[in-house]
Amino acid sequence: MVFSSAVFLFVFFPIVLILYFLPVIGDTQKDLRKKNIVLFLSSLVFYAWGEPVYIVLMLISIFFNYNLGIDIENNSSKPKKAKALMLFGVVFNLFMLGFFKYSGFVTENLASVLGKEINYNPLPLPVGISFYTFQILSYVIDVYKGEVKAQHSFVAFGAYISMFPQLIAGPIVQYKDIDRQLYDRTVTVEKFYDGIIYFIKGLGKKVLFANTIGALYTEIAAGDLSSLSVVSSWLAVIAYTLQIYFDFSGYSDMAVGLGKMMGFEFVQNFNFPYKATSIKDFWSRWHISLSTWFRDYVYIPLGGNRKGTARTIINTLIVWSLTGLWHGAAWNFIAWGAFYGVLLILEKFVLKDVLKKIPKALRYVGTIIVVMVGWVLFSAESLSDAITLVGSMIGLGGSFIDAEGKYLLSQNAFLIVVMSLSAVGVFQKLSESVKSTKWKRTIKSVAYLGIFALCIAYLISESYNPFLYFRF
Amino acid sequence: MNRQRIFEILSIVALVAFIAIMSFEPTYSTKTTDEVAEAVAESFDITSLKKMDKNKIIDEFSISLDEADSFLYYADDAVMNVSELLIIKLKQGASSEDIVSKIESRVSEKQVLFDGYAPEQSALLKDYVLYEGYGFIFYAVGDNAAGALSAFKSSVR
Repeated sequence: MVFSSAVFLFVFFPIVLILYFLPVIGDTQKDLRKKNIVLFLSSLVFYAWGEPVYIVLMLISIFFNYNLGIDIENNSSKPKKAKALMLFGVVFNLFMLGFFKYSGFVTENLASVLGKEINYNPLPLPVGISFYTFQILSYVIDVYKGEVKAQHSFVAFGAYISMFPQLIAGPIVQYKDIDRQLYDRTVTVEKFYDGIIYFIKGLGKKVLFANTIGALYTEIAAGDLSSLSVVSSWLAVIAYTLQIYFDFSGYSDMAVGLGKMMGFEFVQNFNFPYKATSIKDFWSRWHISLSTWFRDYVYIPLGGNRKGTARTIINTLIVWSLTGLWHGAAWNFIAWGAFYGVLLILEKFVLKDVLKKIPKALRYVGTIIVVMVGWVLFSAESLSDAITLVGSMIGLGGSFIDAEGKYLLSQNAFLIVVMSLSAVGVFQKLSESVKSTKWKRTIKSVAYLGIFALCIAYLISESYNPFLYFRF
Repeated sequence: MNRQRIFEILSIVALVAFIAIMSFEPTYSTKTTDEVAEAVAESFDITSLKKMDKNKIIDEFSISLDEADSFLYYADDAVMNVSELLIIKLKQGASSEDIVSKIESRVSEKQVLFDGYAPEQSALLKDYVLYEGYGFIFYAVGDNAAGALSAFKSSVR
């Protein structure tokens, strides 16, 4: 089930809200236990909607890690035993993720290396497995480190892992950030209103922006990449750059909004990443919860930058190759991750002083171009497709501009300008510059109602259009 | 052994059993394309369509059928009728990747062609179904394409 579907907007979520705020469930802190039951059960229904069989996998994972957390805590006075249990948990969870996400990739590459055919049964990827496995790992490791207490309520733990607002595509909520909220959260009118605003903002980003510009990318990418004109190939890359931002940040906004409506505060996942003036800056603004996770649970435990230049370089490359691999079981994702690893190393050790001397505007342009090249690697079906598209971008494909390029440019230029301004926060800044008054709030509410109505109109005429990050 | 440890072991047993069940589900159906098409025809109207030959499939989809064991293609010569049904049974162990990607490219091209001036055709094309599994590739455009896919999935198992 996707947030931008009629069944979620008009059936599932209203029913969940009614149950969540039923007078019989109450509104005291003690009643949060009942609310957690509603949240856990509704999350299971939400997950089972698309791929019912994988609900079994999720329940096995919840049951195992719930018991493991308590087991680790019970053995906290025996460090060796607690460490062994933590490592056992890490292996179990990574095995689960590895088997369902990467076994096909490994088998295919093995077959290719051995030059033999290996028959295997390719399994569909359990939706959201990369996200919930990382949440679970944060829990297991933090319980071992004593940073959080083990959760003794199966329902509360299940609600944390399966929480439908952020289950499918994040943000990756670390247990330490939500632990207290499981038993201490309030929903005020103001917070509920904020939640609605966030949700509609995300819905608008997805339905009005991402889907519309995504059609341009699909149209160009469906053709022969090797004969694209320079303008058409750049249009394709710009379209994908905008699509993935509005698609993913739209989902994150909706998740934050839904969380607020139920009293939760999730971490922000985006902070205008296309405003970045360096690659490091970009990654402090894009998919923040994933970068934070890798920093806390991989980079720092590996030694981070505390063990000299050589180790820093190796650690950076490990983290970024894993970041690429996390996104998908394909070589282009690994190449995409490694691409960023190398760039960050260059930025830190080679270009540091040079970059300081370059004007901010140029650094901005350079960063966005590099990020766009990164998206070519990310979106391509294969590495060779990515190389072909980059070739077309620099004029190795066809002419500079052809009839198709002229037509597509004239049809989409306005949309691209509006979306670009929105992506770098121009409209938000304008809105913030208006003094906060009662009128401003009324106008804002009416505007968001209008966006919601527009989204519904689009959703009625559009076909099923899942979020890009669902496949991770 | 404490209670938690017993539950951890039980979880591992459950995971192994789950993986075994998922992995040993047959990957290659013993059903023929005719048997499958018969089941699909109950929920997808092919009476208004014409059975096409191999050359038509190659022309329309630019695919090679060297990897195919058998195939069926129903379509209409009329340009404005976008309904079609394509069922390909691959040879055991054959890769479906190229065929699936060619079908995806073709449906994208058709969507572009009809978008903006033929809303009915456009809507049908947007709701196309494409499935790959059990050694089959199934592609349908038309009223109740989703129903046809359900019928297909039930019939190949």
